[in-house]
Amino acid sequence: MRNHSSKLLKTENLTKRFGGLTAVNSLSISIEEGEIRGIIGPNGSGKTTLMNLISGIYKATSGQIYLNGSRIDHLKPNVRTAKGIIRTFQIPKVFRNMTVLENMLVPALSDSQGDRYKRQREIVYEAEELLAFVQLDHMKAQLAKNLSGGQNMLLQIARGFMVDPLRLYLMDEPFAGVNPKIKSVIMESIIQMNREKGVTFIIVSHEMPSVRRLCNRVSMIHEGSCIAEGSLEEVANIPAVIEAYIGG
Amino acid sequence: MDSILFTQYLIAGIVIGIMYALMAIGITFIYSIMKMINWSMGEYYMMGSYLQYFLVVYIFGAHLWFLGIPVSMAVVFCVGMIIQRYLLRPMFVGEMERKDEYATVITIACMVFFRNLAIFLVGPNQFAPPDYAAPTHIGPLPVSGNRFVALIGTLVILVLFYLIVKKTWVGKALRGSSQNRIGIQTAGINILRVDQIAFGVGVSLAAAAGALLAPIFLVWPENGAVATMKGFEIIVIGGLGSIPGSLVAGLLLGIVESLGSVFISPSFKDVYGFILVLAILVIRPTGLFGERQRVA
Repeated sequence: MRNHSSKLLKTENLTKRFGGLTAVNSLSISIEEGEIRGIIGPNGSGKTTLMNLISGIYKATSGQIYLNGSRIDHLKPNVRTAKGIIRTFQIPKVFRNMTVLENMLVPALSDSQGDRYKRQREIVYEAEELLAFVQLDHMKAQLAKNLSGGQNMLLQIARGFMVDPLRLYLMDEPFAGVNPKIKSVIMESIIQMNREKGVTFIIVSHEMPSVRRLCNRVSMIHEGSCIAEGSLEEVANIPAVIEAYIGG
Repeated sequence: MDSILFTQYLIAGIVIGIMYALMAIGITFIYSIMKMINWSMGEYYMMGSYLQYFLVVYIFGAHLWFLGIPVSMAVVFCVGMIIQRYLLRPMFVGEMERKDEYATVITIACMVFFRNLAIFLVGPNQFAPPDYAAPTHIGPLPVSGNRFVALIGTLVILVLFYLIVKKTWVGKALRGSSQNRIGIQTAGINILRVDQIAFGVGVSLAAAAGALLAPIFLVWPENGAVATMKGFEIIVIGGLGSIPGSLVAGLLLGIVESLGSVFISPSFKDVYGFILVLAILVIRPTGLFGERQRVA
């Protein structure tokens, strides 16, 4: 039954166990449409596992995930992508022996993206436009394995923008190990996509200056649970958060 | 030995090597996408050879033998898709931990099943389809007509395979899946369907090899065993997961076996390939074109 809420994404008591280890523990979180939410927390707190659960890489042990009021936790990753959920990884998952342009064309192979034979020119044009948007157009004929780590992160992000509809973009440590110029391009692309296309972002990051600049709200994850939510300044002053980062 | 005789044996080695490579490319193609070894590839080779025999003898006739090749490939493609869907897909659905062991058990079981099914259905005897072509020449060098047309057929299939993989949308999905299984799923591609297509394509290449080589190596329930062995030798030499490696290694194996038979003894033809495998394992364990894998 459809729940007529303004929430784009909602998790209810989401839990993931790996044998005796509980990585995500009854986590309930809500993301509004159009929001840029930061997910912060110490290493091993369950942030990436949460991303994997939302994107479908992992199947939840228990709990539910709703996208626009419809339950999605039973759906495969490619079906969730068709519903508009895109995911990037801390170590970019690009296709190393394909060119930059070929990497961009991969999302068009999905059944949900329409007749690719009729739209071939349109798809290539869109891919080239997005590459220009992230300043990678001069590299379009290069194999992805010849790009730097930061350029591959840009490519991974730009490839996600090819998916239509794009509702929710999950980014796992997009700024890790990238140089300031590329970081700036990533940030600008997030801001522009959010402002112009209304894309909702969930960004896992340890980079507090970037989180402060981009995110309306942050959720603090510790030992698999969400222990605080609010603006970065509000969350940073909560004693439980300080203890989680520094330790008892 | 004069140069003409040497060249003749060299060409014979290249001809048979390219055909071995077709089998190896099928194995490597499946591995590169599904990350599993299909130990029953020889049985799809056997199916291809049986289908070709029956099509040529009972339907198309000797003059239209070439029509049997795509039909054999198409039938085995469908068989492969069904086997993958119902026996191998469970590896990728849910959280199975021991995927390699599961794949080994299932594909070896298929190997035993198909071999015995062939014996049950058509008996253990050997069949020989009619010759595809009369003996011919490559320049001044005499060549068996069967080997010559099998070579041409193999080259045509390899070119088609290359074009499909490099130039089509399906090929992009296959290439992407071989390079990053998680990345292709989060880009929106149904990896389970890609696996099914890849398995079908891989076994159809083995069927093509069986159909093309039927008049040379004959048709009988265990004719795939030798081809499988050669296929795996080529993969070790060329590098698991490398299609160019399979082609180069196939040529190398064919040449080594042919020249070894001439300069040393034809009695140890299969041994020369194993010596080459051992040498590669010592000098370059990942194979000529293999890469150390880093999974991220």
